Amino acid sequence: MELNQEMNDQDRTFAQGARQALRQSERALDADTAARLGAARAQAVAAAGKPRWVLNWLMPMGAVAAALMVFALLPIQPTLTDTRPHGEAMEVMLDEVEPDLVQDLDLYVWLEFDGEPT
Amino acid sequence: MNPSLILPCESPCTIAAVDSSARDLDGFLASVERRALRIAEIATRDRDEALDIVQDSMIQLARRYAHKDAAEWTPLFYRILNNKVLDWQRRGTVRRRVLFWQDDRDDDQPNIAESVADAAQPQALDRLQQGEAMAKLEQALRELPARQREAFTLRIWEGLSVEDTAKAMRCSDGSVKTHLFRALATLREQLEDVWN
Repeated sequence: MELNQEMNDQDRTFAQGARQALRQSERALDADTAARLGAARAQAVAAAGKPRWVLNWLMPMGAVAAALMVFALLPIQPTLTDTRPHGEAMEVMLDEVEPDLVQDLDLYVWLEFDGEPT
Repeated sequence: MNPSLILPCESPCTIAAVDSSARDLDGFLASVERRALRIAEIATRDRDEALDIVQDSMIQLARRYAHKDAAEWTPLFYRILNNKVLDWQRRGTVRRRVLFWQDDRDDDQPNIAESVADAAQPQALDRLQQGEAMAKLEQALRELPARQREAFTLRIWEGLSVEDTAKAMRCSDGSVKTHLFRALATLREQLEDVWN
């Protein structure tokens, strides 16, 4: 400890005496307190491993899970947000119907109506 | 080495690194734990509270700074410890205010503040038996302004360099010297009959 430049002789003598007394008091701890300190230390060392485990495993797993969710949701998106006008949607529906049937639709309706008993 | 730090799927290199790091951390904490306890105990006058503070400080250092270079641990640990002590003192101030307010409101109730003080008295007395000089030094340290006490503790008791003390206190080297100078002047004056 380089105290020489910072303090005068009296301060230095006092500081050295105080340090000696304080350090002696550290050694006077009873066995029970020492054991509790040891247990606290073990718990702290164990805690040091947890964030590393989180970084090594949980974060990559979280990133993979997020990516999978994005891929799973992407195909659903167009059906959820179909903003085409109704006329256009009707055209899509009629693509699979025979044009003759559509042209003669009125005739078929009339025939069906006319065939029923009054 | 704590076995919980070893994961079954980790490579041998990773396990060796973790093992070494855990050993370093354990060694560091073992080297400061008693001093830390005494520092906290002098501030709180309660061994159980001091143990809690030291344990919290150790865990915080381990969780946040275990990955840092071991040379940085000492100032970081004492900064954490000092903050925990200050937090404890602030909570105590609030608690005392609440107790004082309750006492004023209801004079028929037993004085809770006095009963708390009485309960702490045997532990305080135990510590005072370490010797009159030590007791007076502890009392004088408690009465120092927080920054002066911190400078004295780190610089004189722990023996940190001015630079590391400044890091721990988050101030300039000059401020450390100023706080220490004032702390020594006050302590010498108060303990003149005991230490000179």
